[in-house]
Parts: sequence; C-alpha cells; structure tokens
Amino acid sequence: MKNTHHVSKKSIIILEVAAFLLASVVLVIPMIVLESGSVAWWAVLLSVAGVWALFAFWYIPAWWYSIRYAVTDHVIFYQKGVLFRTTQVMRREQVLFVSLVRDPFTPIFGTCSVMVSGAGASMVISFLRLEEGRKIVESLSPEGLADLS
Amino acid sequence: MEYTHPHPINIVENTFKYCFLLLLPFFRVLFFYTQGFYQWVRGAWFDLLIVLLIILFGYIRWVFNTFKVANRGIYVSKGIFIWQKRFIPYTNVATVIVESPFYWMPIRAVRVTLDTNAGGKHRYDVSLTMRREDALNLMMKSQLPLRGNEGIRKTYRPKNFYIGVLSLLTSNSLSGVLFASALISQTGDILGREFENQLVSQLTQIVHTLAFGLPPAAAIVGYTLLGGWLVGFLLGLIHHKNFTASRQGNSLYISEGSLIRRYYSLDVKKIHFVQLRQSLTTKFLGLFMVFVHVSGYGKQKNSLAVLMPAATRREAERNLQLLLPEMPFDRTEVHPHKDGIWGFLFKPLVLIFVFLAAAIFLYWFLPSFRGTVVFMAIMAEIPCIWFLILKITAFSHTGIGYTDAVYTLRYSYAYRLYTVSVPANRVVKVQFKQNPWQHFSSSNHRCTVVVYTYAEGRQRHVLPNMDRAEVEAFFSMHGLGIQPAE
Repeated sequence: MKNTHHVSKKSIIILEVAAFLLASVVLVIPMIVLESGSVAWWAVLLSVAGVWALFAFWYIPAWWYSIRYAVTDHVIFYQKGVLFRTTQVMRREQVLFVSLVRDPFTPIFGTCSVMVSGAGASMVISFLRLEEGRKIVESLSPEGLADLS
Repeated sequence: MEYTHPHPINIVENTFKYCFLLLLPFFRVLFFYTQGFYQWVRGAWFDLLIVLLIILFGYIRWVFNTFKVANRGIYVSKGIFIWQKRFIPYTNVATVIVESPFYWMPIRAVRVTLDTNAGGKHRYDVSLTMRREDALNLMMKSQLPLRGNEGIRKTYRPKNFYIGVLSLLTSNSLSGVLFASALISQTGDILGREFENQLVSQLTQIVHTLAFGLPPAAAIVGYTLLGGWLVGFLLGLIHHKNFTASRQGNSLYISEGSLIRRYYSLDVKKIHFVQLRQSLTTKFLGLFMVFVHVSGYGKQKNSLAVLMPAATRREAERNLQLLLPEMPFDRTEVHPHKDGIWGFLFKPLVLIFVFLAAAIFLYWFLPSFRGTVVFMAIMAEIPCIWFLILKITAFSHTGIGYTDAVYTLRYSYAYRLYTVSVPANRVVKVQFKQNPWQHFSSSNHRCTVVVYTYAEGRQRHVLPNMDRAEVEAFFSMHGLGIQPAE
C-alpha cells in the first residue's frame, strides 16, 4: 500500500537492548557451570552469540522495516512480519473504541501503542511515536483524546 | 406498568441445585428408615435446617429481582447487596427467546432471555422466568417496531425427514455419553449404588455378547460411542421437532421443540451472516444445512442457530429468498491459486503418513499386539483419508464473491464445507497472512485470507492459499481501499 509509515526507529534500540540482555541472561548459568575453555563451553557461547547476532544484525532491523501502517478515510492498514508476513485492514466505520497505551518505555523513548477495537476484531500498532499515536487516536476518536492525553 | 416479580417458580430455580444435593439423601433415608418419622427428624435436623436456609435465600433473591415490560424497552432490577438496574431498548435487542417446558405448562411459567450485540459471547444480557402473559406482552412489544406495516407473513416449515438429517449429522457422541452417564449416576444416587453397579455390569455383559470378534476393550469403546451418538441423535430430534421459521417485516420468528417449546424472535437487521454447511456426506446427498448468526440465537447448551435443518440446493435458494432476500449468495469470483492445491493436501497427507509410519513401527516392534496395531491403524487412517477427500473437494469449493453489497465466502474447516453470506458493512477486518514459504517464493503469489465479521466475540472465516494480488484487488474494488501489492 502506498503512503504508509514506519514505526519509531527507537523500537530497534529497545529490541536490541532486550536481545542483548536476554542473551546475557541465557549465557550466565552455562558459563558458570561449564568448565571455561572446554568444548561444551565454546559450543554454548558460540551458539548463543550466533543466535544473538542473527537477531541483532538481521531480524530486528528487518522486522522494523517490515512494519508499515496507514490511516486513511476508510480503513486502517497495518502490515508486519519478517518470516510470517501479516497484513491487516480494518474498516474505520467498524471501530468502536480506540485506546492509547503507554508503557514504562514511554517517558524514556517517547513511544506508545494504539489499540483499535471493533466488534469481533481488534488491531494493535506498537512502538509509535507518542505524537503519532495521539494523532491516530484523534483521527479515529476525537472526543476521547482529552481523557487519553 | 409497575415492576413485577418473576414467576414464583424462580424461587425453586434459585435453590434447586443446592437442595437437590441434600433432599435426595433424606428422601432415600425417609423411605427406607423403619424407626419412624420422629426418629428420622432427630437424625436429620441439621440437614433440614440447611435446606430451609437455602430456600429462604432463594426467596430473598426472588424478592429483589423485578422487571417492567415498557413500551420502548425492558427494565430489569436485581441484586440484594449490590443492586443493579438495567434498561434495554427493543431497538437494541437482537434476539428474544421464550422457552416453555412441558412440566411448567400447568403453572403457566416460561423462561425468557434477551440478547444484544453487546455483552459476553457465552452469556445472555437478560434471563428471567416469567408468567406466560408477561412473556407474550414482551414478545409483542419487542416485535412491533420490527414488523412495522408489513402485513404478509412468509412461513417455512421443513419436512420431518430434514429434521432427522440435521439431528443425524450434528448429534454429538460426547454429549450423548455425558447425558447417559449423568442419568446412570443420578439413578444410582436415588436407588442406591448397588442398583447402579448392577446396571453397569449388565451393560458390560451385553457389550461382551455383541462384540462379534472385536477386542473387548474396542467393543466397549465402540458401543459407548454409538450409544452416546444415539442418545445425542434422539435429544437433537426432540430439540428441533416442529421447526418453523416465519418472516414479517424485519422480524424473523422461529419456533421448535416438542417437550420444551422454544420461540425465537430475531431482528433481521442485526443478523451478522447466513451460513450454509455441508459435510462430505451431505455434499454427496446434495443437501445443505442453513444457519444464521445473530447474538443470542444458538447460545444455549446443545442448541444450534438453525434457519433450515436441511434442504436441497433449490429448496435452500427458494426459502432463503423467502426468509432473507437481503443476503443473497453469489458465484465465486476469486478462486485459490492453482499452486495452492498442495497447501490443501499437505495436512491430510502428513497425517496419513504419520499414522502409517507409526503403525509400521509398532507392527515390527510389538509382535504380540499385531492384530490390535493393524486394527488401530485402519481406524486411524479412515478419518485421515476422509479428510484428504474433503480437502480435494475444498480446493474447488473455496473462493470469494460479491453482489449487492454482500460478500459470499466459501471455505472449509475441519470436516465441513462452509458458504457464508455476509453484508459488506458487517466485515470488520480483513487479514492477509503469508508463511515463509509463500512470502519468499519467487512469485509471492499465495496468502491466507482471514475475514473478521461483526460479532459479540471473535468470528473469523479463513480462506487458505488464495492468490494475493487477485484478492487484494478484489477487496479494493469492493470498498476496503487496499492497493494491489507492490
């Protein structure tokens, strides 16, 4: 779809940090338990490092690049997925309510999520810039913005 | 009109399931106790006190439960410590259900439920036990805005044979087994464990006699399932007998049942979609089962949202034109991609292969059980081969059409083929999914289309292996504003 937008690039930073922390946590116990320099020690280290590198240098940037969204007069469009590509199109007239979701990362990175709910279906767009999230909520539900901000 | 209490039988309803646990032991003891009534009271006074407290609590709940059938809607007030008052306008009501069991006819009581598009998927918005006069008043007032000035009432009444077909194909072995086991267990509670053990022992002996060379364990399982299915079939027959559907204005009125009469009043404007269902058997017989999806209808336990129990294609088309002409069925305009046949066949072929491989493995490694292994392998392969035949049929069946602002979706799920007619304004979201094989293939042709329709809970229709460019262009052309894939 034309005229689509990407989510905030700060999502890459958040996920890279999360991947590094997860890899560190996973490595701690084997590094302590196994004999340093042994075959098993190297195997675990290289495996975890390999998976982390795959995620850090390929999957996370590809995931960010795959995410596109757009809000038009008739529909809300959201696409994502590296290996499993999903495209969602929701009719605006079926939107019952919209939620602006702030999380602990919001004050640090200025990101938020928008949840669009209809009768029988919903859609969540994550890692939006806060201003962008407000604009989407204002566009879909102007009378609710005062309470949500 | 003032607020009214539910029918007094509601007091018994509020307490019955608790009293039942206590009353059975005392009636049994009372019948078998030989030392006299006074002695019996001395022994059972505490249980009697609990029963009286339960009945008192049920009475208090009844006192604090009231309703008023007004001209524009119904007011319901309930709660003892947390008081809740609710008003539901008739214009928001999707379904009104009136249930009249035969055992309540002498006391003129009926059970009434109302449901709207809001609220939970598994609960009704209002559920009351009323006097028959109040229920008739409610039914009349709720149907009045729907009927308008439309004087003509069009009625469809299926043959009993078609009701039998519906019960035959939708009866559930599990529900039948559960019903029969509950019956045997409760009989044991009333007549004693010894009677229950004798009954179960007799049934086991009968099964042994009728095993006809089958392994006894297999025969017991087989006859239990068959017996359960038969009980389920009879229950279905009783549930759907005397089925009638009528249309007047925007009101669709359905009645069914013999021992328990049920009357349903549906708002046509709130119908989400109409669904034709076929299994392979009914496809070969040329029969369709027609269901209608609206909030509240078909929510009850063991209940189906039936519009037509079964019909030939011509009968279904003619009667749908009579009852719901605003939801036509169109021919398929977008078919699955030709390469998609393997996507349909993958699962059944894998299942066939897995069971075959397991059977071969067990045949060689468990020589003393070869007979059982062969038998179980055949039993496992039959449904898999049936599944394969169904998926081959599903490949030619699957597709999407559009006419008069109504989508026609054709797809398969489990062992059934579905044809769904859903108004375009009831489509909430469309999702296109590609697995890595589809996404990274050189032509990037195929995807799975999931259509979400308006419902209380989530309602999805899944069409696999569609041509991505074609289906995106199709939805763009019909109002979903998607540009063709770049």
